[in-house]
Amino acid sequence: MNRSQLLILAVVMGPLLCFAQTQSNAAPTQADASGKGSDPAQSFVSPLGLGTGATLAVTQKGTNISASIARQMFNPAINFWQVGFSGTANTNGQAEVYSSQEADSPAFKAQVGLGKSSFIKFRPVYTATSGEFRVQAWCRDEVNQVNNTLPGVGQIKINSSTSCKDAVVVEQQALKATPPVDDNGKPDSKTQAFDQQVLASLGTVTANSDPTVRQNICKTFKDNKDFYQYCDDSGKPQKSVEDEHTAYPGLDTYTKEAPSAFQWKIWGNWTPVLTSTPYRPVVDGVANLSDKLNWTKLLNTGVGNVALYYRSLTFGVEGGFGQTVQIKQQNVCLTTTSGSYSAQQCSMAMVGQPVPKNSWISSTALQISPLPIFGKSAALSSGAQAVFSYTAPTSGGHSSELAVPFYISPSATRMSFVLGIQPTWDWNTDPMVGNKFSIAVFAGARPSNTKN
Amino acid sequence: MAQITVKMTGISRGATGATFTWNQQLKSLTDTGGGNLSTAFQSDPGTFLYAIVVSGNPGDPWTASVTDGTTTHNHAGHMSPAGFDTTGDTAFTVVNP
Repeated sequence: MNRSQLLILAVVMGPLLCFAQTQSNAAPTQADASGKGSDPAQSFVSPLGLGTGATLAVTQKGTNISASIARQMFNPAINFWQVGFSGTANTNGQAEVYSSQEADSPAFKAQVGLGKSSFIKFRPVYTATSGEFRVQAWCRDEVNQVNNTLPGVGQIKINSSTSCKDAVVVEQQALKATPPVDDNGKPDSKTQAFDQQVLASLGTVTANSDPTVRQNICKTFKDNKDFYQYCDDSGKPQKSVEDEHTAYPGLDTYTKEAPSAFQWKIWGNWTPVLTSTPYRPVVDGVANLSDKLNWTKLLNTGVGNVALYYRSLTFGVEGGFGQTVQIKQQNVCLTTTSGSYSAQQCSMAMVGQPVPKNSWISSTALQISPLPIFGKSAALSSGAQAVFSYTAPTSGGHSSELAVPFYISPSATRMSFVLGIQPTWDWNTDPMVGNKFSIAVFAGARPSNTKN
Repeated sequence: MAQITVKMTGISRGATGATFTWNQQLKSLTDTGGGNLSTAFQSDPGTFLYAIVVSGNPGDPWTASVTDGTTTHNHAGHMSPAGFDTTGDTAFTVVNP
């Protein structure tokens, strides 16, 4: 299969899968192109973990299709699991594959992981107290709505940190002093009566009022969409605690035991790799090029991962031990001669049977997202990552790689699309594949794999 | 019994990026890709408290919906500088379908 055929395959497979990430000419590295906690490229060697969904990657070495899913579970030791699969074919065999750990080495891979995240935790005090704050903030929204019904000269400004109870008292005075008027400037007794009813209801809200108080008061607002829009069951998007913090600075004296900015995730993976290649046997140092054989082997690797999160920083480290194999294919040709003419029929094969090696593997990743390039309300968000990976066969030598991807994505749907550039440095010893520097441009899309 | 369906978007940390508590019990969320999480379960009629807690990149927008097929609650927010946000405890009245 040549490169053009692979590209056609990519074009055809993408819509069929309904979700795909294309990574054009990407180096076989682990660009965490958008997500903070998992790897959007779904690399099987990322210290940040697999991202859920599916990925189709076309690289200079071959085509790779990955899919994985993750789910929470509740156990004292384990609170999430993930399962992933990856199938790869190299383009024409010319590529030298150093390690079966590489993202686009020719193989069928799976990954089964279990772990624990500090984030998945029951936080009853945090949710209860922040719920009390949201009742206060909702009350302030409704008081503001009453204020909006007053004539301009009668409208008042209430300090953002003023509690619901105090705001209601102040607004009742404003309503009494300057009642609503209709379009003709005459007293609007209907609006005034409803405003009085709203403020009377809100007057029952105390510092400890729970969300059922809000729900019960909201039942009386159903006939007035201006007030009902702030109710949960109105169907309108309701502001979260953080957005209410922005709307009412200083009002939240309620929330307690908020999660720490520092969080962690630790997990382990078993990664079996089924790899296969045609080869020609070598007997007593002499290659038998006419004997076509195929080599297939299941290689096993176990790795442990730790990811640390602090605000916009993520740091991940992975270490493990497993089997890798070096597959170097070359053209093996049958030459037929007839008189002064000759014809060649060539195919890619490895000369000599591949020999798996045990290897230590490790990788680290440091990510910052978002980068302070775009403003808070900008449509685009950006991030950068530094990923260092190291594979060391026990027989000696190493393969090292440093990749520094930079990317941008839509702020509103960060995981759905990314565009980035990734400089990569590679250096190796024994076998010396060669040091090289490359720059890859990658673009990816990964919509949800279920209909919402 | 009614089926409660919960969907979230904008959760860049995937399966480990959010929790959903219904009636003082955590419900298992499935990462459906693209920063989306979901869960569905059966509930008796009545009024219950639920809470969504999310984490991610500071400033990231997120949304969530909770529905029993009759009533729908929609939530929207942005992660705090520490990378968190929540709906806080919220009341939901489940009706018989």
